[in-house]
Amino acid sequence: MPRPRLQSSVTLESLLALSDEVAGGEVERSMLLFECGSELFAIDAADVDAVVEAGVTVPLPYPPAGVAGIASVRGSMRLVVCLGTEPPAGRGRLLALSCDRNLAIFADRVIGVVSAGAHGEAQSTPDGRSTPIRIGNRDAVLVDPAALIGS
Amino acid sequence: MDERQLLKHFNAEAEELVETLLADVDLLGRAIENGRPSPALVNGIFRTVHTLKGLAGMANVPSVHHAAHAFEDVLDDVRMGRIRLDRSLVNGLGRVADELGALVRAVASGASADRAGDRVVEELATVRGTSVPELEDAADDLVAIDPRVLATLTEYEEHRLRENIRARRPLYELRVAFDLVSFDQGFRSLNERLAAESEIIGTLPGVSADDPMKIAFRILFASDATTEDLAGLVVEPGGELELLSRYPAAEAVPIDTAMPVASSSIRVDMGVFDELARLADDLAIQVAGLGATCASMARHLSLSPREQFELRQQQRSIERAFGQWQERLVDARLVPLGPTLVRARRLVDKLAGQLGRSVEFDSQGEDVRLDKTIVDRLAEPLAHLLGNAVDHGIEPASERTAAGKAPAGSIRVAAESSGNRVALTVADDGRGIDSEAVRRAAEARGVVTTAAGSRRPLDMIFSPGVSTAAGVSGISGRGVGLDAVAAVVAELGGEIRVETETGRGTIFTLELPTTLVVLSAFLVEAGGWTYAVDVNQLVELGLVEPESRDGRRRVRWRDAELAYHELVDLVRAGGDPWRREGRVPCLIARNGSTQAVIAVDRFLGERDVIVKSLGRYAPSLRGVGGAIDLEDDRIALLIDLPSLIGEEALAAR
Repeated sequence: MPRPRLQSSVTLESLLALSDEVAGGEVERSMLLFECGSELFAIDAADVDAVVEAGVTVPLPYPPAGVAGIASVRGSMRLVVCLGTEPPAGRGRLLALSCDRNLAIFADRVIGVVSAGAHGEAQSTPDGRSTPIRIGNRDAVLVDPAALIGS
Repeated sequence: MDERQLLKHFNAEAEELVETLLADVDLLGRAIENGRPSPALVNGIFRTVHTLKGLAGMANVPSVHHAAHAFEDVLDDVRMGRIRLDRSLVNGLGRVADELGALVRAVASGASADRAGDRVVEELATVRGTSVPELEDAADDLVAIDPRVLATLTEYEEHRLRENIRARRPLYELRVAFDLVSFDQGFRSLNERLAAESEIIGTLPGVSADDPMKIAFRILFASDATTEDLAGLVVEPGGELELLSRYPAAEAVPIDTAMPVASSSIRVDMGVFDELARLADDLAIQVAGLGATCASMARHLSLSPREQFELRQQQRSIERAFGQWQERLVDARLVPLGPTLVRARRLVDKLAGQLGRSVEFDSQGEDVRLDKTIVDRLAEPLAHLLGNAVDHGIEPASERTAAGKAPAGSIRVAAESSGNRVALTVADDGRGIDSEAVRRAAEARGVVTTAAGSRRPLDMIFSPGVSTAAGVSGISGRGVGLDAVAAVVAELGGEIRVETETGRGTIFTLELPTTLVVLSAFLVEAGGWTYAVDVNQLVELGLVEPESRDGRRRVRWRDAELAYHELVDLVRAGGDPWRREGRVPCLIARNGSTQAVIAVDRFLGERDVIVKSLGRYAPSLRGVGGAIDLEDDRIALLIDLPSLIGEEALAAR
């Protein structure tokens, strides 16, 4: 398997170090790390059904906040949520969420999966972000899928 | 009814008859395994084919008429007991029914039906060639019956008499007389009561010896009911009942006492459902508006708290009733998977026969219901998966035995519903799929895993042209298929997964929605994107020369002055269409009580599309009713023109 391409500020070593750090924790979770723009995000891998190459995302006339448009992923129409501050540039990946068949997150780059301890105390904000967790020398924003789009 | 309507009617009815035929032949096969098939079932099958023949004659479809006629001849021999009804005969009848179904479908699709018609005749010839003539019983068996009654029996009645004697079923003769003036009602009512318990073999009318104003009947029947019960049944007309048969130690034989039930269903064109769904959508908007109106009334009319409460209650109950009505409407489109599973069984039997495999088929979930369109579209992918399972999955018996498995393979199709999704699994206990071979085949075809780790090699089996089949058998293995299966499933808004274990078998899981929205839509292009509009929102299409007036664009169209919009503005897709000159392709759309002209870049044409919903987000997507998967991975938004025009007007304020 090809080695994942990493941004200079996050090294494989630092990710592995994090895995080691939390290995002794009570509850372990696999976190999927991805980048949107220059920001680093982490989502519980169990919340992600599939990672697919982003095809066409069709813009909506009146999109809800943070929604880039609609994409078709494996037969389902999904709203594509863009977490970055800039709109998606170029081709990236879509993380199809397992907890919501109509939602996907756009990622410019998927970095990989690391083991992480439970972050039960992480406080989610209305836009689905929560307090950052430290990955190596970078802060990764923990994504709460349930809070991505206000109902 | 003109020729086209007649043919349309024929297609719908013929499809239903074939469905009934397949289900009944399947039932007959099972009845034979369990002992004695009911003559009513054989007769039912005969009548179904007879009806199909009549229908084909009426609709002038000679191919089906000829095939049904030839089939009817064989079935007549079966019900008359001229050929023996056994498992092999029923298998043959099943194959004929399958081919008849293929013929009906060929006619419906407008394809040439010659080849399909020939196949029905060929299968019938095979059935004739392999059937066993039934030996007549010695006439001695029949001595207990008055020869005068015997002499009046038709060939069929005589055959039924023999069958009942062979089954050691008690035979009775009932002598009864009715008044001449009302004998028909009395006779009919007696017949109905008798038929519920017994098989009436023959009826001989005559003049009553006691009373010239009466008409007498001698009714010969077989029944498993007790003599006391039967006496109770006939006590009202005051008949005389005689037991004709005396069998030594008769064994209990199960009888089919099911009464034919009058059908409580009617046939409704699917178009009617689509129309009702459209009306429901219109009504939904009105109902949604009702809430706002009520709230505003409560504010402005200074209603008392009690009045406000009552208004609110009333509005809520309208919303609730409407919600239930919408649910029922969706439900009404659902049909059970039963007939599909019967066809699956038939197909597996047929393929196993052709390929010399021994396969046991098992199904579950006959009652699971799905939208009719989904069930119809599912037939082909399911046939493909079953073909693969029999051809590549299940090993020849020798190979299975060598591997320590049962000589007969097993294929199981099961449907299970959960919420508004249905999981349909096709599982076999064959050799499994070699993931490594799939990967090699995919690489050879240039299919690569772009996202490392996100795609298992096995999933590449759904890519076009990837096949691991060593040989081409005529049934599967040409490298086309699983990608087509996946495409159909995706188009229906479903997902397909595969799990396999070498030497243990393969399970395909098709996860499907239970409902679908099919819509006649007109597709257009604007600002580089494709949009779909419900044709019911459109009045007509035209090429329009826009002219500016009062700072707003208006156009004259058929002597009326209509508002002019650019679709790229309505959908806010960017671009500057205003520089466009000359005649512009336009949609003339309904907008409340008036009409509006909406300019687009290009017309792409009308077609039936499957609209996929955005689930719980649908209500918050203004101006968009869903999205449609198009070919080449494109997506079209289904747009609601009146609401987009309304949003634009709001934004301009």
